[in-house]
Amino acid sequence: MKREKFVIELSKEQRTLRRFLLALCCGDQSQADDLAQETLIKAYLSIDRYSEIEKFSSWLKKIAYNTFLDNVKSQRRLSSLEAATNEKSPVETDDFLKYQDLYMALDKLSPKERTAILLYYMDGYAIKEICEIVDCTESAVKQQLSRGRKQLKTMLEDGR
Amino acid sequence: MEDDKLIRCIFEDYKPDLGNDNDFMLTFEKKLEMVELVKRHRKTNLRHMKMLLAITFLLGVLSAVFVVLLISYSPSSPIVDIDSLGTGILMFVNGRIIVLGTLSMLMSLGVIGFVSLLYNWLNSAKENETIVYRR
Repeated sequence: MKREKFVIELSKEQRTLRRFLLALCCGDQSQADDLAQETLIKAYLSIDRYSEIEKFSSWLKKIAYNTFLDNVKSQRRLSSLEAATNEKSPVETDDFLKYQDLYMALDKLSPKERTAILLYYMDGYAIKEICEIVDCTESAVKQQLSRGRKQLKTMLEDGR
Repeated sequence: MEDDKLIRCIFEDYKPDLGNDNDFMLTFEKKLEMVELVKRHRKTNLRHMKMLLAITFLLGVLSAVFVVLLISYSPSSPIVDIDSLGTGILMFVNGRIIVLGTLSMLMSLGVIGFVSLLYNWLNSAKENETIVYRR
């Protein structure tokens, strides 16, 4: 795929990707945008490895998910340092407040459960497709979905 | 099933404000330009390195040929006078070849050192130029 075609394909997919990452980052807009940019650059650099058989959006989600996991890992390493200074929190815009309950509930889920829930309920992927994106077995994804669903329901009902 | 419906409804209503699409794409295209710049720079560096390697190799071969010629056409007295050492060790029988090999190796090392010094010097000159340009 050439650069021009890549940019065109991307401009079609970027909104879905950013929405997915915003929910994954539990409403942290700046982190979500940084991750989206990083994902797109990584995608551009590995465009030769993209096979047209695969869905472009699924391929992007896979890169986004791995980028997100890397970010979580590096944040964990930095967490002790941040605790010593002042902890960063997302900027509370009107939009953030609107979905605050959802973000708080998502925040309580593990990154893997959160990803499975978002891919299944928000983006409408089938379990088989989720398996390919998160590189897990079908039973593992089903388990993540079931646990995530239960937790999410409890937390959202408590919040109401 | 009930849980499913509830969660599905929540995500159907989830339409966050993502900001301006054009701004996002513009930032991305700027980053893409930078990536391209780095890629081009890397390619050029790699090409330079390959060229330098070829030059070094060629210089090494030429120097070796030069040394061979020098030694072959040298006067009748050998470089290492085996008789004067008074030993019959096998190594000294092949003294001329050993000296030739050692000299070639030293010359190759010298050439590599000289070329890498030259390369570093050129690179630092280029970096200085860039810094001056940035200022």
